[in-house]
Amino acid sequence: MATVLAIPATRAATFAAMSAALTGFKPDFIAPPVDPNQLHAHLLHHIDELAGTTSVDQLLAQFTVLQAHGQTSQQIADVMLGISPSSHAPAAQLAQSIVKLWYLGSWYPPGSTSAFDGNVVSSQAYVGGLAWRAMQAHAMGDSPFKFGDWTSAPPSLAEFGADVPEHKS
Amino acid sequence: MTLQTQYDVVIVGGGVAGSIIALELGKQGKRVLILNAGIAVPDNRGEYVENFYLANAKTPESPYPPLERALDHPPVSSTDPGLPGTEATPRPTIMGLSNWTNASLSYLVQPAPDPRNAPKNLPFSSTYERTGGGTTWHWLGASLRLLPHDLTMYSTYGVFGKFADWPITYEELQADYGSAEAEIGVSASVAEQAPLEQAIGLTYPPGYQYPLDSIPFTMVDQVVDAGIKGMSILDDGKNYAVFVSPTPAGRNSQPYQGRRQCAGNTSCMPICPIQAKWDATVSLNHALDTGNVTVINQAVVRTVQVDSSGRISGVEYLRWSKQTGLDPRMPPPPQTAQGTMYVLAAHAMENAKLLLNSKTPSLPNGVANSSDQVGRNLMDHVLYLSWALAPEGKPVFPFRGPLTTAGIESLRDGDFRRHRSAFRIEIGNEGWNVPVGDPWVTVNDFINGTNNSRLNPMTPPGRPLPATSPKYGGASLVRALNAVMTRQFRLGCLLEQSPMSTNRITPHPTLTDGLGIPRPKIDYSFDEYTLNGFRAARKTCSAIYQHMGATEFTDFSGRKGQPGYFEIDWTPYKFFGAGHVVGTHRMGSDKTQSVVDGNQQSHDHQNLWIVGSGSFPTVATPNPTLTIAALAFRTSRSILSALGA
Ligand SMILES: Cc1cc2nc3c(=O)[nH]c(=O)nc-3n(C[C@H](O)[C@H](O)[C@H](O)COP(=O)(O)OP(=O)(O)OC[C@H]3O[C@@H](n4cnc5c(N)ncnc54)[C@H](O)[C@@H]3O)c2cc1C
Repeated sequence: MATVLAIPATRAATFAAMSAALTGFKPDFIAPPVDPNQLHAHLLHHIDELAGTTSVDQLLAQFTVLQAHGQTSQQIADVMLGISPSSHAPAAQLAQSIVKLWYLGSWYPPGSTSAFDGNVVSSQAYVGGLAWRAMQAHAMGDSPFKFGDWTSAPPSLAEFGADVPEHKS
Repeated sequence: MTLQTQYDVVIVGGGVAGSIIALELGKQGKRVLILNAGIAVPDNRGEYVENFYLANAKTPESPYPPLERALDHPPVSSTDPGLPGTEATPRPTIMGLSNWTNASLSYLVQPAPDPRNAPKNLPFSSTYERTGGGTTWHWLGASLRLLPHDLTMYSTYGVFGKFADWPITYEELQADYGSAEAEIGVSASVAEQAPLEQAIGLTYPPGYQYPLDSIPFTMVDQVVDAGIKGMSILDDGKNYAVFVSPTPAGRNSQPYQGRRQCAGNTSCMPICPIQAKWDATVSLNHALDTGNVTVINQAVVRTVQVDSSGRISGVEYLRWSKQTGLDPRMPPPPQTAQGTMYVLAAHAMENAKLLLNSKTPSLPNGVANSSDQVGRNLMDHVLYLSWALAPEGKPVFPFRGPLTTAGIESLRDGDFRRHRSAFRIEIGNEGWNVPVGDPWVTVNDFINGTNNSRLNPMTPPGRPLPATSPKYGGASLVRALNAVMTRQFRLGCLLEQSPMSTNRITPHPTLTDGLGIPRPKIDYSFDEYTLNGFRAARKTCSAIYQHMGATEFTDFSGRKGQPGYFEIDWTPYKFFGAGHVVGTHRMGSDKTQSVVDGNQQSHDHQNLWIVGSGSFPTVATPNPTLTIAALAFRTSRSILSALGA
């Protein structure tokens, strides 16, 4: 179920909207209305430094066009990540690096295919990694839960912020 | 220079053993000095936690100084961290292990494997820390007792005369186990351990209770527990029951001695961010609170000095101010600390190195070594790891809760110990983190369209990998990852290794650390007894997966050349170290065959105690620290009585 994306006002907001589509997490999870952490702005700052603002802007522009054409989040992800049609274009590789950064908190050089190529950009990026949420868990070393919560099933994927239908798994 | 103060007791090392002995002596008003090689225990653990978050390779050593660099970034200059030849307190690390035959990157100096004669020249694979508080900063907290038969391996099982009996019995250790469990704050329940009495002879004194309630099962434990109900395995015509037991743990199931209840951070190794897991800094603080204990940090003991009457007269140490980029030819000036009694508590590996590095013309074998047993019989729990996906529809939701909360203990003793190692099986709660490198590997696979984890698409070992793997993004990535990652779990068999006098640590004749002190040179292999254990471990784990309907993914075929890789019967295996370093100054009643007695007092030097897991004559199957702690209580009484208290 694709979430309808509002037209974002600023560059950071566009980045958040694009990140939501690429990662499969809900826009208001990626950039909550009240957000002291500003993880998306923090990651964008790192990506600008690591990949250069020009390439990032091109990616944002691609996203804006796809969005304006009424593509669903999943369609946008598939095109931008080079899944369909399959492509290794530099833009798709940068988009993959951005997804890895969101998931693992580490920057993988675009085109990298080794899981051991990544560099943690910050502790905030590591503990905010979406990979842990995709398994309904938390980053190792940063539990928001309490004693004994591990004895029963965690909250649903949707409650972890994923853009998937709401049901207990 | 000699320190002016004359102490009652000088202790080298403030880890588990050193801190508990200091506490017990300090309580009795004895003046104690601890010399600690590494930096002081920090006031708060935030910086270490941050180091862990920022580490690319989240290895046990990753939070602790000297900081290691990432595995894939070898040092480029002599001032770079990770160069053991120029550091003040280098130690074995996982990074070093990945380069184990390269002595400029590996603190332990290890020979290259012998391909004609495998499994000879295996890499010793365990690590330890040399910072204030010692290695329990990153211990897992498993706090199991020895079994009665573990102390009588020679008389009970014979085993070609290789094994030695302990000079003390399980009964004699019972009360000290109680003291150790109280100091550490062990969470467990005697009632829940009761089935192990019949299975493996584990007993407690009548009416005994652990200080804290047990830690409840994770969902992984629950699925394994339900999946193997009624299971048994046949070995040599005998049936052995296989069942899950809660693991007694040095982590708080409720607030204890001012520390918090476990919040399930799933990072016990390498660091508990809230110190719900006990570590030796807790006991070190208790020792300092007595007002009778002094610690000198950044003080690396180099030799132990002996006078003409055979008594220890001092320990010589080097105080450093800079950790890296040192020139070993220009060490700081040595200083000497003196006491009436001396305790070596610098870890099994460093204790042996220190004794052997203290050779003199009158003691050509080194200190405390008339038996020639110092440094020999080096053992570890060699870890056989296997991994699987839980049955479809039965997610186990790993990465929530402590790293381990239960295990299969029922196979820790039996007649099979006549011909092969026993093992305990630890149930892991961190998915495929250790065997595969997850979540990093599988996440990369699903984004890149690769298949290093064999999950993209799911292809159990033995089946050919499909030519292509799908790529995922957006919500399909979340769903694809969730479907497999929530089913990941692993079992780790801690195998007992048989003692071999040729497995040893000696000070390297030429290679030193940054202070010019020799580094440990290692010789290490497995014999048939241990290899038989591997065969049994593999069979048992596969049988467990099959019994519970899990899909096994264990596969070492692509790992040739990696540390710990070996083959038996043309089948690839890989072992991991458990961090349980044992045997290097073993205890015994025969002076010609052992280094210390049942009180860990040197046979050769009356005012010297050599303490820690180096004193264990057999490694058996329980993780060693609880026994180290219990023995520390026993040794404290021995020292007090020698001091005439
Ligand atoms: C990853 C890992 C997980 C583990 N998990 C468990 C577990 O679950 N259960 C368990 O029972 N055990 C576990 N262990 C083992 C446990 O950590 C050790 O058994 C224990 O720490 C040993 O205690 P110790 O006091 O002998 O040495 P240490 O804790 O290593 O302390 C030694 C002290 O000596 C100091 N020192 C060293 N050299 C010198 C010198 N030359 N001069 C002065 N001081 C010196 C060090 O600075 C340190 O303070 C684990 C180990 C590892 C590596």
